[in-house]
Amino acid sequence: MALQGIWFDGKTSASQSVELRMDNAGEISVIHVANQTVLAHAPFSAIRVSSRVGNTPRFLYFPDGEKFETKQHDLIDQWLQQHRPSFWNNLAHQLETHTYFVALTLVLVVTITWATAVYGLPAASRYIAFHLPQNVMNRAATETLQLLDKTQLKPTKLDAQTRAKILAYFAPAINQNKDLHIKVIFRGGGHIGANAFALPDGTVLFTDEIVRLSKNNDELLAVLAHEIGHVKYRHSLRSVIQGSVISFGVAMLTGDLSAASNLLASLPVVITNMSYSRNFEREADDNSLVFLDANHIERHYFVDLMDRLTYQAECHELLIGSHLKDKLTNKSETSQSSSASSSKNNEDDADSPEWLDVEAHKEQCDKLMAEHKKSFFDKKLMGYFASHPETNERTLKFKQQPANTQH
Amino acid sequence: MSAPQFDIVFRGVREGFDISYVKAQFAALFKLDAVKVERIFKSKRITLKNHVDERVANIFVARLLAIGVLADKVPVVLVPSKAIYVPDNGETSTYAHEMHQPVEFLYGEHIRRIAFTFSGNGFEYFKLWIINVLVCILSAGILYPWAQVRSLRYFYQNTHLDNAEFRYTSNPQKIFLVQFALMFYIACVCYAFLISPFYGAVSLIGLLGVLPLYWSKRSTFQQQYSFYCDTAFQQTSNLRDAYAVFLGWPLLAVLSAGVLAPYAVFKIQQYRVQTMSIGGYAFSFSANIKKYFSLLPPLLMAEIITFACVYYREYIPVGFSVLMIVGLWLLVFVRWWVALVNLQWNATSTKLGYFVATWGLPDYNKLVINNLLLCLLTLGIYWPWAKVRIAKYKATHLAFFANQRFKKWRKSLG
Repeated sequence: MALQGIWFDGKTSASQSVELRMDNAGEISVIHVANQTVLAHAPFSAIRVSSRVGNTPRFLYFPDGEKFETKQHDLIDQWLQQHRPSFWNNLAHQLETHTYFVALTLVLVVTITWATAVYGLPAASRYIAFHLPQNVMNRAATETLQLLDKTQLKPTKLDAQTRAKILAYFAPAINQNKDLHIKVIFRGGGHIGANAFALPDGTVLFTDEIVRLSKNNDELLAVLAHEIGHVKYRHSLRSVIQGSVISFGVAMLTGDLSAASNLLASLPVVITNMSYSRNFEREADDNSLVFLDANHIERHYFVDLMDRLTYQAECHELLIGSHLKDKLTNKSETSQSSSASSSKNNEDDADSPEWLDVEAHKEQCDKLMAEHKKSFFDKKLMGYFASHPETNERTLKFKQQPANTQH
Repeated sequence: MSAPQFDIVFRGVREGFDISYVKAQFAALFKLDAVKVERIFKSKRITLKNHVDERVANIFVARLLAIGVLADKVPVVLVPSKAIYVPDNGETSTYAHEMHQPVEFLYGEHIRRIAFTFSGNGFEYFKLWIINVLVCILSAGILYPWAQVRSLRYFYQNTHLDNAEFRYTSNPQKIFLVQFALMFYIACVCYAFLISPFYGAVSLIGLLGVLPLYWSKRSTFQQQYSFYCDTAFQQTSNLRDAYAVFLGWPLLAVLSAGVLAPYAVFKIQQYRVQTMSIGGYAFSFSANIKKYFSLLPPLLMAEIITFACVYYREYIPVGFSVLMIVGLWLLVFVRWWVALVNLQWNATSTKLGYFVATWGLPDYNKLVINNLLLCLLTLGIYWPWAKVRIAKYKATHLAFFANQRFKKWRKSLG
């Protein structure tokens, strides 16, 4: 059996049509096809064989600088098997050519990717986060707060008495978590509106709007417990670790970056990060649940405030939508919506934030909400991009009675 | 091919005829300008008409004799040759090279159109690619250079010009070190962001400062292991120019809100083409900067619409505006990409010949959107097929117009 191919003598770029024959001792002879002269000799062990890549031609490199090109892959593989048996020799190519191996590889890749993204990475990042010092993100937290103060937040307009009362109510919860260095601060929410968030150094920020939206301090306490959960379980740190690993991994897989791959690559990154964010919210909710039960505070306080927040947010969105529609169709404004439009422009006024008008527009809101039932598809799709789980899902566990009965 | 075919070959001016009179008559007969006429009359042997039957050939020769031109009708001998002669295939776009004269009889022995071909297929590449992915996952990315080399080899070796394929001969070991250094630096940037957004921002700017060096070195490296007909490509790298071109001009483009972007791209293309050479033949770049500025309106429009969406974000549902902005920029990017590919190749030439690219916006748009949708539907598994389709498109829309020197060069390489 002989290999047919092209011979390059390494001194000029001229090529010749040759045959390679191997004798029993493993010696290769290079024979010119036309005149049957022997052009070279070499033991097979001294020849370097290039690896198979698809069906592209392959090279045998001879010790004196000559090279031989051929497409007869099977024969070379046979020779390699006989004289240089090695598991790794063309393992990749073996896998490539057998279709069931390819299918198996596909299944393996999909499974490993899914398992890593859903279980492996969160578990690893949890381990890493708890083995880094608590204060690793302190500086980041400070800078973030400074940035927010400069751009989005305003100084709080709550009076000192209200703040003192709330802080006193929070004191037991804060003392229970001394090692987390919880510090509650208040700010004017501006565009952010009614909200509360925690920074990794223990700072918990409440906006004036959420304080005003709440009906009693127990509701705020439930929110505080949720935020403390974020700090206790180091969600910021875990989120950064998971986010960067995912981005890095996806960027590497899509290799040579072109516009199409960039676009496609960002989609799974966004969806996965949002999914991680929702899991963190659920964990923080659990922390709140445990806290409320342990301190014999009724669970419904959390539900009440959450429902009110969601209602207010939806109503706000619908009001803006209908206001815009009115403007566009040049309808004369009704007495109710006119106050909303004028107050929107007045952001310095402490009582102007449009959300307050929710109470006043309750009738209109209910009507709009009945009309604008979000389609199932819409909810499902937007759900993948939401950073928090749906309110109904979140409050479900709070609506169940705690295991031990209260007295 | 039943009837015998003839070529009409120009031999010179008949004795006793005044040259300028003959030229004028010739120009009038074929409706050509003076430059082309001069070129024909100066040549030693140029084919005026290809593959006509005997009757037409006789008429042709007689007509030419009448105005004082000596022409022969030469029977066409169909010599089987490795290179396929293909007549002008519509390379008459407005982006076409100035040297390109799409007139049938100016082809022949002098200029020969050679198309690029890509012989890979999606499933073959998929098999290669899925193994790459598995290896990268199992090695946590350490063996990525190995996978990258395999991929590049596949695409290079399936690209052919004039029946010779391109080769990529690097081995992964050489790439490992640089890859590691870059990955390590990016990991440091991520860690810096963790500690403080300020440090993170600073280290990111540092990364931008290092990138031109990285690209310049990588380009040189990649070219020296890229072979055509056993001759390596060379890319000279002048660090100062690399920084000006990859950092300076893009920075100005961003600072000028995109107005200087066409100029920045022009400079990048010019640099990349002019620093390349193969076997001692340098590539030259002859683009006209004016053509680049026609790219500006779509970019500015996209910027304005994006700005409006962000400014009025309270009034527009988030999902809708995100989709619109993404779609808009994708369209702008594709429009730019097609135009830039055409502009670059149509301005690239060497002493061996010149290139002509015929990318079309509608089909390339269709291809990109098709690929995008299929990748989304298959959760990314369609990716290797998409890459192969793009490689095929690139090959079928690029041709090399070789001259005599190219023929001699190929012969000398054996």
